[in-house]
Amino acid sequence: MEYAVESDQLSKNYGSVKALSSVSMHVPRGEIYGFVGRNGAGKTTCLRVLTGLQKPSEGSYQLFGVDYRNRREIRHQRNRIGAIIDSAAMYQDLGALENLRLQLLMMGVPDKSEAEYLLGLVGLSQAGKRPVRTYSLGMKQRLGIAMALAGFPDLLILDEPVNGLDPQGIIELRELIDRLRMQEGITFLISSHYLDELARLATWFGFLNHGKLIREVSREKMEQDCRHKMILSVSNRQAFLRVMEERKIPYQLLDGDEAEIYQDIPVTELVLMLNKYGCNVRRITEQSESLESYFISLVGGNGDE
Amino acid sequence: MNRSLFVGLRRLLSLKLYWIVLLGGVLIYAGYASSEPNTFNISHYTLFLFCPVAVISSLFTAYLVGTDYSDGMLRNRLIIGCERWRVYLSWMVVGLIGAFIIYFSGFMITLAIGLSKDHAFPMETKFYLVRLGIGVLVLTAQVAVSLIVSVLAGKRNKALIWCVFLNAVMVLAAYALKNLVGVIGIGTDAYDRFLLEFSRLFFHGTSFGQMLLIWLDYGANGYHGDLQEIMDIRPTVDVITMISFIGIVTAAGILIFRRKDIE
Repeated sequence: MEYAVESDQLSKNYGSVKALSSVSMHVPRGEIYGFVGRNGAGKTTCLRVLTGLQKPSEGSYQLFGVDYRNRREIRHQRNRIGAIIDSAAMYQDLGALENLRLQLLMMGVPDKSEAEYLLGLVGLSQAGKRPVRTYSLGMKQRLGIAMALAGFPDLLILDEPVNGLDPQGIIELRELIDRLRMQEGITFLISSHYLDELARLATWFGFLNHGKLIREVSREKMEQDCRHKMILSVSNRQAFLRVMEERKIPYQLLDGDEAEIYQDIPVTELVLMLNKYGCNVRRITEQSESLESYFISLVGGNGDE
Repeated sequence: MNRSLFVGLRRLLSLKLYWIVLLGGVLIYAGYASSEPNTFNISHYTLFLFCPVAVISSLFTAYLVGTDYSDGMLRNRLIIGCERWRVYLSWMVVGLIGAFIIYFSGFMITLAIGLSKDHAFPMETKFYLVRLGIGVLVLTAQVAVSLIVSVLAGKRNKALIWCVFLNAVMVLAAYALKNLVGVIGIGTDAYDRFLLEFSRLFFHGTSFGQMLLIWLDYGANGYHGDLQEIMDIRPTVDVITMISFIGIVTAAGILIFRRKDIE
C-alpha cells in the first residue's frame, strides 16, 4: 500500500511534557484518514510536526515516501500539501479574493481564474473584497479550506474543520471532501473530536490517546468490529481473562463481572470455550457500536485527560 | 526567496497602514522643512531623515512579521515548503524596501523644497556620500535588529511592544552616552578609550546616535569640540563594523527562526 504520510516512532516533547509518544501512523493514498482523540490528546501537535511547523524530538516521518530530513526533496513534497492547522490562516485586513491570490502566488500557481473558482467552490463568491475580520467563524473556516485547496494539493490536512460551521455548512463540507477525493484523488488527513462527522467521512481511522496512537484501523475492519460487540456477564473473571489472552480476542473489562468482546465469535462457541475453563456465562447481549463507543472502548470511558 | 519576496511585497503594498504612514511621514517632513526660516541645509536634512525612517521601519518590520505570526500566514508559507531562511530574508528585504520607499519619498520632498528655497549644500560631496552610505547601513541594521526581536517575540502586539521598548532604550542610551562623554571628555586611559570606541559605535551605528551627531554638527551644542573625535567618520572601519553587525544579527536571526516551533 502506498502512503501519503508515514511516521515512525514520532515523538514530540515540550520540556518535560511528552505531547507525542512514539506515534507510527500510516495514511494511505487516496483515503480519508480520521484522526480521533480527545482534546489535548496530541492531534494538533502531530499535525504541526507533520507539516514542518515543529521539529520532532524523536523519530521520523515521510511524506509521499520522502524522509523529512531530505531537505531538498521534502520541499517539493510539501508543495503538494494544503492544510488548516489550529485555525484558518489569513490576513484579517484583506478580502477573501486577495488572500487567495497571495496563497496562489506563494505556491507558484498562476492565478487567472483559480481564486474565483475556489471561492465559488466554498460558497464565498459574494464575499469579495470585504475584510476577513468582518466574516463569521464559519465563513473564515470556508475561506481557510479554499486556501488549503489552492493549487489542488495531493494531501489535505484539516485540523477540526467543522469548528464554527453550521449544520448546512457541515453537510456541504462533507460533500466537498467526498467529491474531491473521488474526482481529484486527494488524500485527506482530518482530525476531529466530532466523531459522528468523522464516522460518516473517514475510510481509515487512527485513535490517539495521551500522545500515543493506540489503534489504526480501516473503516471496513472497524465496522466489522463494531457490529460484533458482545457484552458478557461471567462467573469467573480470571478464567475469562485467560481465554481472551490465549485466543487473542480483543476485549474490555467493565464494572463488576461484565466485559465486552470486539470479535465475531458464534455465541455457542464462546460459551463452550469459557465453560471449558470453568467460567459460566450468565448473560450475553449483542450490540452494534458507534465510532464514539468504539473510541471509548479503546481509551476507556473515565474521561481522564 | 522569490515567491516569499513577491508575496511580502504584494502584502506591503496592499497594507493601507503603510500608505498612511508614508503619506503622513512625507507631509510632516515637508511641513517641517518648509517652516525652516534660515538657509535650507539640504545635506543635513537628507541625512537627518534616516533617523525617523529607521524608527518607523523598525516598527513596521515588527508589524509585518508579527502579523504573519498572528494571522497564521507564516504557517501557510511553511506548510507548502517555503524554507525558513528564505522567509526570514524575504521579511528583511521587504522591510528594507518599505523603508527605502519612505526614505526616497522624504529625500525627494526635501530636495524639492530645498531647491525652491535659499538652499545650501555645505558638505563635501565625498563626505556626504560616505554619510549617506552609513545612513543606509544604519537603516539596515535597525531593520535587522527589529526582525530578530520580532521573531523572538512572535505575536504582533508583543513584537511591537518589544520594538518600541528597544527604540526607547536606544534614545536613553544615546543621551546618556552623549552626556557621559561630554562631561568626562576623552582621556587616554583604557576606560576612556573603551568609552570612546563604544560611543563611536553607538553614535554612528544607531539611528538615535546619528540623530545626535547631526544635531551636534550644527554647532548648537557646547559638546561639539569634545566630541570631535567621536564625530569624525572613519569610512572603512565604520562600514566594515556595520556590515559585520548586520551580518551577525541576520545570521543569528536565521538560526533562531530555523529552530523555532511555530504554533
